[in-house]
Amino acid sequence: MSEARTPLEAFRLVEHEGRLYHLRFSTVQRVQHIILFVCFFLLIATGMPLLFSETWLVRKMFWFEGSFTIRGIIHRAAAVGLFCISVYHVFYCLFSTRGHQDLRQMILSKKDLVDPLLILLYNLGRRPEPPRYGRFNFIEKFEYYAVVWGSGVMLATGAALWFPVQATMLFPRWVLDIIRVIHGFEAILAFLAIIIWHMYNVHLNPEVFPMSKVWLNGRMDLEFFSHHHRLEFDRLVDNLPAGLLERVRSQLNDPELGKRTE
Amino acid sequence: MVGLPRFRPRLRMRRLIPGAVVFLALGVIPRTLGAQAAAADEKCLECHAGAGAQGGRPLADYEQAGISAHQGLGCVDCHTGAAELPHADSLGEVDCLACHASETDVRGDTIRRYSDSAHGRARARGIDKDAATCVDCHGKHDIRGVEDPRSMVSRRNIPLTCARCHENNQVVLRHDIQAEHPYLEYEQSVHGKALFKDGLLQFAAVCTDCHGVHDIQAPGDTLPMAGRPATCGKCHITVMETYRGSIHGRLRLEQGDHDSPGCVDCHGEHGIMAPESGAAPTSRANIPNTCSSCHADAGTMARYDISTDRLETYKTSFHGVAQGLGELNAANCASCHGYHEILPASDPRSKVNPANMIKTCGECHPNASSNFVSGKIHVDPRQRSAGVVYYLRNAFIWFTLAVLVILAVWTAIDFSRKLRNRKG
Repeated sequence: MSEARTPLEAFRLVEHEGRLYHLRFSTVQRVQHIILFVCFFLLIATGMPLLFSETWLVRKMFWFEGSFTIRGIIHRAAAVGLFCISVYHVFYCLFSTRGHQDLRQMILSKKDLVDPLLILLYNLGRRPEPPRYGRFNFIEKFEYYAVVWGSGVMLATGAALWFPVQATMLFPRWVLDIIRVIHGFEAILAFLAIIIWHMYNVHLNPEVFPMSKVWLNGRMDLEFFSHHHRLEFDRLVDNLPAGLLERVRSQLNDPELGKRTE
Repeated sequence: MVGLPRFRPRLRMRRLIPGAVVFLALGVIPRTLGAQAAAADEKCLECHAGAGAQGGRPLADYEQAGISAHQGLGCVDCHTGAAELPHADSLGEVDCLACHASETDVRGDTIRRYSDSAHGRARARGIDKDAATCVDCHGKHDIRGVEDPRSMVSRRNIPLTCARCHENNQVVLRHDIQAEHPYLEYEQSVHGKALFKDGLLQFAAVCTDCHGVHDIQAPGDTLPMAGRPATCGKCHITVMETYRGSIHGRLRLEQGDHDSPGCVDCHGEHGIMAPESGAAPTSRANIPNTCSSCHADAGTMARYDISTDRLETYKTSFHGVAQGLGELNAANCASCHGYHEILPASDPRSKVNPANMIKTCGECHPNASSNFVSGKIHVDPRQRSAGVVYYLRNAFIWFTLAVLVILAVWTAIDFSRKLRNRKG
């Protein structure tokens, strides 16, 4: 925390063992992420069995008396956790400086519709260069909105299933049958998105394998940063004071860095 | 039950009358003096007494005879073939009916009904020496009155007496008897525990209370007593009253419909257990399977025009999922439909009649509103009959599959490219 008020912070830079890093996620953001995924996995672990209740594995999961009751308690407790972190996140995005900055970077643009096509063509060998991304590429935006949408749907439908008597003051009971289908399938979609999409992007992806440590320490290597978030990197270079720019140049072994735009 | 204390004097009286008549009619008064008999018995004992009676002749356990209910009778009163000495090699079977022909048993039936019982008929066919006759249940020389605690036919001993044959695997297999371990099951049942553990000698049902005494019938015989609700109703009186008014009871008792369940169809037979016991077919864990043994059977349900998807629709409901995974507080069939009082939803007294649903659902969901109880309950999203839920589910399935395929293809392409980048 000693570096919290250093000038580095204004440029989202941190120093670690003599090297500069891009501070991808602040401590507050990393804690939010940890709370989110703990709640998420508790919810998945205690909810998914209900969708496959007749399978052998699920029957083994509930081998002792009262296990189903405990499942329900954990599921609801995790839901309350998810609700709290969601509410906190809304306030964080609206009222904290960093949260507000990041939210603005999350806004979808035309580029986010074109980039998937460009990266696909690049992956298929039809374009020499991958598209250049800003702070959040279309994949990250997609994941973020999936989480926001998914949490909203799951919290709303979950609340109706938790309090069916109160919920049916607003609508007839057959709506609960629909809500139950939505709750189940939205869970499967979220689970697939996380297991395939997110786990691939941050773990199995050959560029970060076995795991990107950004979620733990928030630090992103400047070289990685310059490749994967080029537009954001360029913005940084444009705004860096001379002293810091020199350090970045020497660290990246690129004396010409930033001169093109001058 | 037959042994309710206030009835007992009457029964005793009734038993005494025919006994006294026989007593006098046969002119056995002098025998009560015992002297004559004892003198005659001395002669029998010359050959048939003591360990190692001569030449392997059957041993008369005279000591036991002396303390039996037949105390005072001499050997030849029963073994009539030995009246003249020397007697033939075979004396023939003792004819108990010579004295007991017109007696009635504890249930008021004449013991002559034995000849029309499962045991009696098997005996009469002449091929079946396993079938119980008088001495198999009552003993031989040590016969005691039914009120004597040491009697083989005392209520406390009846289960063991029957078990001597009915727990014998050879007997059970040879005669294809339906119940293989009736005693072992009975021992663990509510009735067996009430008898052996709680000592409810007059209240706990023993074999003869359900199966009859001398007129015991086998399953498949006309009107075997044990399968009839009225048999259980002798003791379970108020349950019987409720059952009589239920749809099951009406079909069974008024229309003689044996597809409609009687007591044992849901509760089991020898091993009958309280619903609180997890293993009981009527326990919270087992109720759905018990009900669906009929209600998921297409052949049976077709007769009543009842849908067979009740179990499946229940299992996919939240109640059913929770119940299936061991949440025993979750509603099962009986929670909503009742058990002894089950009635079709169209009946205004039915727990699932629309007018009563707020109360029924409210048992678990306080403040349930009319909205809460509205609409179809047994909904299976996998079936077209579920309507919008079905189509929504299908839409989700296709959407999920599409997402899965797109993600997989995308990831595979991305992966191979990045792998190449890394090598290159």
